[in-house]
Order: sequence, then C-alpha cells, then structure tokens
Amino acid sequence: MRNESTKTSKKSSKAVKVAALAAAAALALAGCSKSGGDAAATTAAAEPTTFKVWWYEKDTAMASTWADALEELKAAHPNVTVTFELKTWDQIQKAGNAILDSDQAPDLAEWNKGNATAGSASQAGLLTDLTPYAAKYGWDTRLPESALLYGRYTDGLMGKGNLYGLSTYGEYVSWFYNKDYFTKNNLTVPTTPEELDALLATLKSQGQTMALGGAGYQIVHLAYALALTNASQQWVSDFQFFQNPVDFAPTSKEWGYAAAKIADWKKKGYFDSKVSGISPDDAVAAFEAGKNPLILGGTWLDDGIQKATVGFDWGKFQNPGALSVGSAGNLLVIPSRSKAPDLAAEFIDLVLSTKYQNELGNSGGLPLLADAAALTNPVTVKSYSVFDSIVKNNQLGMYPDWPVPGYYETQLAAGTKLLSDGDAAAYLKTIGDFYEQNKP
Amino acid sequence: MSATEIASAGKKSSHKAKTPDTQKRRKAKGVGERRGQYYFYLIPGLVAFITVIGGSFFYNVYISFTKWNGLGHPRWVGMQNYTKLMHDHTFWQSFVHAFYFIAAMSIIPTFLGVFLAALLFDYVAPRFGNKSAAFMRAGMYMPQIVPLTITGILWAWLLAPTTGVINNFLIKVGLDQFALNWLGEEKTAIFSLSIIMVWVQIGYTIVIFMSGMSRLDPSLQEAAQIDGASWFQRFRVITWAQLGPEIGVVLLTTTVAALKVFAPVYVMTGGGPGTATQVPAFFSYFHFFTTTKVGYGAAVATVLSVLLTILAVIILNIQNRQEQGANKR
Repeated sequence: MRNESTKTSKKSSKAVKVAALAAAAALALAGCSKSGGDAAATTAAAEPTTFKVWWYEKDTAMASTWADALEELKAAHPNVTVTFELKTWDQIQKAGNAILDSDQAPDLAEWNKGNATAGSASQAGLLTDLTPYAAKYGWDTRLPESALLYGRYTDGLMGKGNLYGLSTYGEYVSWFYNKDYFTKNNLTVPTTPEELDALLATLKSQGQTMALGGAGYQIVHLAYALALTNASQQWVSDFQFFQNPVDFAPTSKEWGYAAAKIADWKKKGYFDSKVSGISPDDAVAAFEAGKNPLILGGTWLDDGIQKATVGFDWGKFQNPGALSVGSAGNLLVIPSRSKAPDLAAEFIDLVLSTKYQNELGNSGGLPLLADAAALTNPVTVKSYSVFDSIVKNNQLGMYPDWPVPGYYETQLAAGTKLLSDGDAAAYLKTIGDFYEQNKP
Repeated sequence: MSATEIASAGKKSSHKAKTPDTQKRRKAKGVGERRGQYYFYLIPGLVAFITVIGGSFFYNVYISFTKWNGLGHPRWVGMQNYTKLMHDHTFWQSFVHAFYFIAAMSIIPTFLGVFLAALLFDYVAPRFGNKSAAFMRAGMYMPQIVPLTITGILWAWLLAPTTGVINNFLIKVGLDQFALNWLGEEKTAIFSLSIIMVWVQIGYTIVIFMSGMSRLDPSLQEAAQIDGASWFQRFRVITWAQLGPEIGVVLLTTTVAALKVFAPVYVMTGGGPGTATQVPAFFSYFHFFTTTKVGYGAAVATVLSVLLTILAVIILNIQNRQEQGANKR
C-alpha cells in the first residue's frame, strides 16, 4: 500500500513531503512538550489501565477493520481506557522513531516497514521482540516466511532475525485480462512463460497488444516481474538485502532474462509501437475501454478497473514464473516503552483472526489469512485467489526499487529507453552500475 | 542567481552614469556628513541577501565538499565529489542538453521575438489597430502566465503518442508518418521539449521588444520610409540596431533561465528516456533529494552557479561595451 509513493506520480509526493515535514515537526514538538513525566512509566504494572494505539490507515479496508477489532478489544477489557490517535505515514517516516524514544510512545502502533524506520527503531532497542508472542499465538506458523520477513531485522536490516513487527495485509502485481475477449477467441490463461509468449504472439496475430505504460511505473514492474520469472527467494534476499552479489550480465537468468525478453517482445511487436511514450494512466484507460485485452498491474488498480470497466468481464492471473512482484503491508509493532505489551499482542492476534481477516477482504483489502469461501466482495474474490496462492507458495518477490535510493527513477529512465531502442545490454549496464555504486 | 546578477548589473551601470550627478547633489546639500545614516537602510536588503542567497550559497559550497545523506553530520571528503563529477558521463551530457535549451529558450525566442514584435508594431498595429496588436501580444504572452508545471502536463497530454490531440490530428489528415512518439524516443524527446520551450518563451521576448520599440524615435522610421527603404531594411538597420539594450537583457535572462531549466523536464520526461533529456538542474535535484547523495548534488549546483556567473559576466561585459560604443557614436 505504501509503496504507492514510488508507483504513483512523483508530482504529488513533493507536496506531501513538505506538508509532512511540517506535520512531523508538530509531532516532535508535541512529543517534547509533555516530557518529564517518567514516573507514570514505572508505575505500570501487570494490570494496564490505559491502552494507546496509533495507526495511519484512513479510509482504507485496514482502517475500518482495525477500528472494529479495537471495539472488540475494548468490550473484552472494560477497565482499560483505550485512546486512539490517527497519524500519517509521513509522520512515522520522518519523526516516528524519535517519539518511540519518549514517554509519549504508544502501546501499539502501525509502523513503516523498511530499514529506515522499523529497522533503525529495532536497532536502537525501541521495539519489542515479538518472538515469544509469535510462539504463543502461533503467528510464525500461521503466516508464511515471505510475509513475516518484513518484520524481521538484524542490525537494522530487513529480512531475517528477530521479529519486531507483523504484516497483516498485502498487495501484489499480476496480469488483468479481458475475460470476454479470451472466451470469444478461445484463449486460455497462460501458466508457463512459454505459454505467455504464445499468448502474446496470438494477440499480435489478431492485431492486439498488451497495454503498457512504458513512460511510467508499469515498465519498472514489468521488468521486475520478468526478472522474478526464474528467481529464487535467495536471489531476492541477495538483491534486496545484499546477502550475495547480484549478477546483471546479459546471461543472468534474472535481470538478463528480463532485459532480453522485453527487447524480444519489442522486436516482435508485442507492445504498441509507441509504448515508450504511453503513460500508465492511458494504458489502464485503454484496458478499461476494452482496447487492449491484457495489462500488468498492481492491486491498487483493482477498485478503479472494477468501477471503470463497462461491457466486459475481467479476471486476473499470476505472472507465470517462480515469484511475483508484491509484498506484505506495513507492520503492527509494540514499542519497547509500551505499558501494555500483552494487550497489544492480543490486538495483533485479533487482527490476524479469520473473522477480521475476512472483514478486511470484504472491505476491499487483501488479507493474509482469510477464509477464501467467506469472501463475498466481487473485487476481493478476483484478487484474493491469486494472492492466496502467491502467499501460500512463498512467492512474494518485493519491489525492484527498494534496495537503493533513486533506483526507481533509474530503472524507469532505463526501462523507457529499452522500450524505445531495444538495447538490452545498455539497460543492464545502467541498472547494474547504479546498484553497485549505491549499495551499502 | 539571475536576479542578483541583473540587480548588480543595474547598480553598476546606474552608478557609473550617475556618479558626477550625485556628487554634485551631495556637495550642494551637504549630505556627505550624514552619509553613515543611509547604511541603516541597507540592512533589510542585506539581511535578506545573506539569509536567502549568500548564506545558502556558501552552505551549499561547504556541503559540496562533504559526503552527506541529509541526516546526521556531513563528513568532509575534500574534492572527492568534484573529481567524481569530472568523470560522470551523465553530468557532461546534461550540459550538452543545456545548450539545446539555450537555443530553444534564448536564441530562437530572441530572434523570433524581435521579428514578431516588429511585425505587430509596424504592420499589425497601423493596419488593424492597436487593439488587435495588443490582443495578439496578450495571446502570445499567455504561456508565460501559466505555471510551467501545468504547461508541462498539458503538453504531455497533447503529445501523448496514442491518445494525444496532435498525433490523432496528424493521423486524421493522413500524415501518419509524422505522428511520432514525441516524448518516448531518445531522438525526439529533447526536440519536443525544445519546441515547447520556444512556445513558452516567445511571449516574454515579444513583450519586452514591443515596449522597447515604443521607446524608439518614430521619425527615424518615417525618414527611412520617405527615402524608400523597404520594411526589412528598416527592420535590420533601425529596429534591430536600436533594440540593442533590450536584446542584451533578454539574452542574459533567458540564457540563465535555460541553464537552470527544471520544471518541464521534471514534469514531462524525468530526464529520460535513458538520459536523453537530462539537464544540470534536474541532475542536481536527483542527487539532492532522490539518491540523497546531498554532497554530490551540492557539487553539481556549485559548478552550475559558477558557470552561470561566468556567463552572466561575459554577456554583461559585451552589453556594456556595446552601450559605450553606441554612446561614443
């Protein structure tokens, strides 16, 4: 969900940053103004009387579901005064860790995944290690490792180690297809990379192409989706967490394969001839209008496509290959200064219960542990079955721009150029050099 | 940067021009003894200059000698950023592109602007009335009023390869081969941006040149006309020659603007495809805020400032020499 800052246009993010700086400053001031009342912290005993909760979900499936879960927690603990404060993602990103170090710290909070936030907070000892709670409630067995790793940090680096937070929802990138077109032309959903190639060739012979916003984030996601076709989870750890060197050579089966595939598809005319100038918005609109029968997109497009698509039925299928672009969502954490860690863990378990995971799904979110049969929201039904399979098979491959700052812009510029000149070697050199020069 | 240069240039020339005058006045009124009092009035401007320009500039120079990600303390690395910059292919490429923008934002709009302004002033105004000339001038000034980011978004829509008005029009009238992938190909992207910038800048130059023309003595034109000079001869010998100061100012301000062009690149291409539209200001921004290599971004900004200052001084010198030459005549 929060990766949208990189996916959607960069234009808005600047204004948001300015606003966020101001907000963060205010938050920090609020944190300072009441400091000095440390006595309260020490008097907290086994019986907590207050429970302070922070999250920044607003008008999302998570917001409504968590609010309902909080009500249930309140009912179960009538002697506890529950206070909830709505924050923003940027507040946590910019000033969050400083507040965790004060007596203003909440008892439970939604925290940003990543090395800069949850990572550095865990390194500074500001977050409770949830490993004992995970064993108690069975989180570590109910959730797959590919969903748990966003909460695992060692020396502040995401990926492995103690569990400091839990993701309770997710998102992913897959193909959307025009079901009516597929039925009419006797096309079947591809399950192997070869079948995908064959499908694109058939579409080409019918005068059709996939829709692709080559001037925006969609080329970045297509390239990574193809890189993940032959990738292992170890390769993802190598690429994302620098565990081992990553090969960017044209012969490499991850990035090398992706670059060669895009160049090949361009040569064969599987894209619009002007694909490098098409914006993602225009590509999505073309799919919604029924002009192109296929598009690669993220779950953030689900609602829009459902609402805008008129006159045909649409479906989703996972990009054939080993792994898929996607990740679990941001974390629920228990700060070290929490005065009610047990209650916080109880709340996390409530959010992960089938009841609230189903509610999350039926509100349009992507649950990690829902009962598929209980989902009735038509969009979720389409989206969840794919996600469920991705999570169960440990296939979440994250996003390509996470390793180093500025990587999104670099991959975008290089990807657009690749679509324009078909030079796979130059593409690999650009993204490989940038990675090598900027990794820690 | 540009504002200060112009301001200091203005101060310099007015100082030169008025020196004998002011001295006379000062002696006459006995202001000399109380001169110290006037320093007080310099304080607001000085404070603004130090906080907004001077301080930031020197802090930027300091940062350019450090390695810093924007958080914590900058670490001194000496000339490292500059050494790296000298070998950064993208940086030099961005300067090559800056010259495209000098052509698109300075040279072409200046020549085209003088020509169009003369056309409006000498031809449209007398024949169709001042109102039509003013209307056309206002129309051509419009792109200057619209914020550059909005201009960029609008042009990106117009130039969109499959849905854009321009390509759809070209295809409708049978000119399919000219319906290019304007912003999506390396070869056409900088060319497309350049055309947009000509469109943006032309209004600015026309307005300045038209006001310059109203300053010229009409009797020169009339005399030449009586002597049988054609419109083009009058344009070349009278209008062009007399507009020297305006042309100098326009060339200076637009060249400086071209060297620090940012918004259209930011909105329309993000420097791509590849590095086809990378420019120095965007390159600096990218390292400041995106890769958070703040020291490196600061080094780019410092080099850019130095180059801009040198360029401004050169243009001002040429202009001063021209003015002196004109005065001697």
